[in-house]
Amino acid sequence: MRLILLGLGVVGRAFLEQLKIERRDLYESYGINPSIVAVANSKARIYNPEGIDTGSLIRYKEERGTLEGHPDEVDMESAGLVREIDAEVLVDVTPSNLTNGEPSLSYLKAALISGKHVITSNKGPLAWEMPALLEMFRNKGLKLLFSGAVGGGTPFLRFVKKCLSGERILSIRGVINGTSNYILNRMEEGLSFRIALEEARRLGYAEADPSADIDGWDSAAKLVILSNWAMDLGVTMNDVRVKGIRNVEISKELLFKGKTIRLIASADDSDLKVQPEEIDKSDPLAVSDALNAVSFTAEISGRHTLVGKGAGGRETAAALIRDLVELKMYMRGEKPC
Amino acid sequence: MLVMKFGGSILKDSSDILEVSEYLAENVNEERIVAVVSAMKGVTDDLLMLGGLAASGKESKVMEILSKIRDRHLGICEELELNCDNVKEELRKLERVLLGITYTGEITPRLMDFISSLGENLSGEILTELLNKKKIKARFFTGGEAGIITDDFHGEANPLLMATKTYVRKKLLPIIDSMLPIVAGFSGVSQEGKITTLGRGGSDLTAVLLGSSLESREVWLWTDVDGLLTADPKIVRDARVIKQASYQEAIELAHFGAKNMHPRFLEPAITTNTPVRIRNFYNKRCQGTLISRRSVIEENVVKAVELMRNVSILTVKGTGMIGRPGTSAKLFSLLGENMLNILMISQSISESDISIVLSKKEVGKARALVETKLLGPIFREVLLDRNCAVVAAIGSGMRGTPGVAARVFRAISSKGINVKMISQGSSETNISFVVADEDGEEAVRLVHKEFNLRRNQHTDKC
Repeated sequence: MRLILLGLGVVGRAFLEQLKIERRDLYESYGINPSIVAVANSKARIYNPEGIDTGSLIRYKEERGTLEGHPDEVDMESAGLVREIDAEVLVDVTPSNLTNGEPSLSYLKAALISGKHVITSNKGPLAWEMPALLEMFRNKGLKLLFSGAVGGGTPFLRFVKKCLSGERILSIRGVINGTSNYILNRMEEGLSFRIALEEARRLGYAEADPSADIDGWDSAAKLVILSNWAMDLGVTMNDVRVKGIRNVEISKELLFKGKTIRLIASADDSDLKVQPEEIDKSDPLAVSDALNAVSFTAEISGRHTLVGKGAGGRETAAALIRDLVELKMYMRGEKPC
Repeated sequence: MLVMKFGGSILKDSSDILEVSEYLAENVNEERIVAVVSAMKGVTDDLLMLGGLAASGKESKVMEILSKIRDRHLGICEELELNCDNVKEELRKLERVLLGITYTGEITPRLMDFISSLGENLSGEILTELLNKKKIKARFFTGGEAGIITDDFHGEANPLLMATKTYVRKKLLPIIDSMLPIVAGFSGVSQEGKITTLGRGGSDLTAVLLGSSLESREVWLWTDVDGLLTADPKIVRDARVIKQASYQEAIELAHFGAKNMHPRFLEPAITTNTPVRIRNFYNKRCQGTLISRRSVIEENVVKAVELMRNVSILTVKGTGMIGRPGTSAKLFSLLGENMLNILMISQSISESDISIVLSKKEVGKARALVETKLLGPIFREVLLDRNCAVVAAIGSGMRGTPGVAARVFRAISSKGINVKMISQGSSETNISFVVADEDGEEAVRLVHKEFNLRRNQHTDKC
């Protein structure tokens, strides 16, 4: 199976690492023999139809700080590369652009028109055009898989689709941004918002520009993906009301009453919103640290809550590998587990 | 918000375009509007013909029709005192493509779509320029530019509903507060970005797609008739306009040649529950027919009576057919494989005969097929009743209402009309029966009268 890998950041490298570790198991258990024929990041495009030695590629990048000048470098832009070269799967682990989904949207469309399946952890295109993308990929008989886009290694999407299949999901409520949750937890312990944010930065939870996390946009994107997937709502970012945690205070009185505040993303038939909400400390959504938690309310069986680590290179890479297995089973005409 | 489609039947010349622009100018400040335009009357047919002529290398004939199209549109521009630079550009594109086809002698479905979609671009560009001249901020969009996404069945492409909704909203919502979008009907783009056309009734479909995507209050299809009628006015002089019909009723009515209407546009309307109104541009006092999920039972359970002439009944008989599974399958697959369309089916409980209704044109071939392929120990006999007509009483109000069939048949028996065959689906929105062709019109009038479908000349504005 020939793969194009876009993005060589934390997730991209973790994905390559795990492919290498699990190579034998993937081959023996599922008949997956991945060959990376192209790798691209924002600086350079590397292409070798016979397969790239990814170990030496990463060493090359680490030694020189860039892929530029690599012997297999080609003079093409990424969307063109996706469109033109022969491969079965595009793996897109480029950073999410939540403003409009580009340039990843163009990569996905290049894959669509050139008949390639897609495995992605990029939230941007899904946040903006998920209903359209799902329909178009289905229409072309192609798979668009995105377990890694929500919840990192925690299988929220697969859980609701596979374990609750046959039931109507009435609503979704969740804490789906680890960074803001970490900050709120530290604020519970008495830190100010500013100090807590700085700490989160120092620990690598928060980006240099933390606005996507603390202003709620990252949660909104994930909520769009979850609700389209679980409830078939056909929504995009424009349909979510978003409020972040910049002005939140967690008072002693509130904590004394057994309550706290979390950045809650919620969806039902009529409304999608992300906002700080008061909840009981005993609520399953009142998770600690940078954890994520999502409650699905099913029509008959009621509320189910899944808690897990929401991000991280290795965890997201695990989700990508799961998608790869699902894709292989689909290609072979089997139903995934 | 309202989506309005202006059909080809009301776009014949410059005065029509002027009238449409005046109507839009008057109403655009009342409520946000998205306008969908068809090609000028007859232009799409000309374009389709051009494609075929070019492929067979008939250059002089191509040039003749091309000039006709050019003169017609540029003549309108002149009469309306417009520059029409965009129209000229579209015409140049058309000429170049046609020349290319003439030389290669080859036309693909994709090229055909490119050509046949141009009619709407021409009328749309003219209307847009005229509105702008009137200081109404308007902008022209092809179907693809407006976000209509389809599969790649060129010539009769199917819209991808979710993709269309996503892109229509993305493209039109940000501008709709500040300008009036004029959208070319009939065309869209495939996922590869190639121009596709939506087939018959395509502009109606465009309007419904836009309306459902933008969640408009209603979709208005402006045409030159008052709406769906209780009967063909040529048969029943005092037929009246049906004020409200359900989607199911509209599908049944459209099947019986409610003119200019192809029921395909109803499918996205049903899935998104978008109300559609058919209105007469030349009689705006009349509110037309509203097609929506809700059916109002207007005084009566039967809403319309339709007639389909030029049909025949083919009956196959044989005691060997009794209790033998698969006999009807044999008959139907034989006809299906030979592209013969069955209009009505009836089998008695004794299973000793099956009657089917086909168009008169096809029945000869059907009989020959049955005789050569099936006649034998099981199928003993084939009978043909050539000159027949189907009468259908339509209305979802008859569901669960006892006595409707009794009233229908009593009405026609009062004049001694013989019923040859009857069919009612279990959805009970339609009772169809076959009579002798010469009795067809009389039967329609009798049923129409029985259910008091007559127009009230004093109160009806239609």
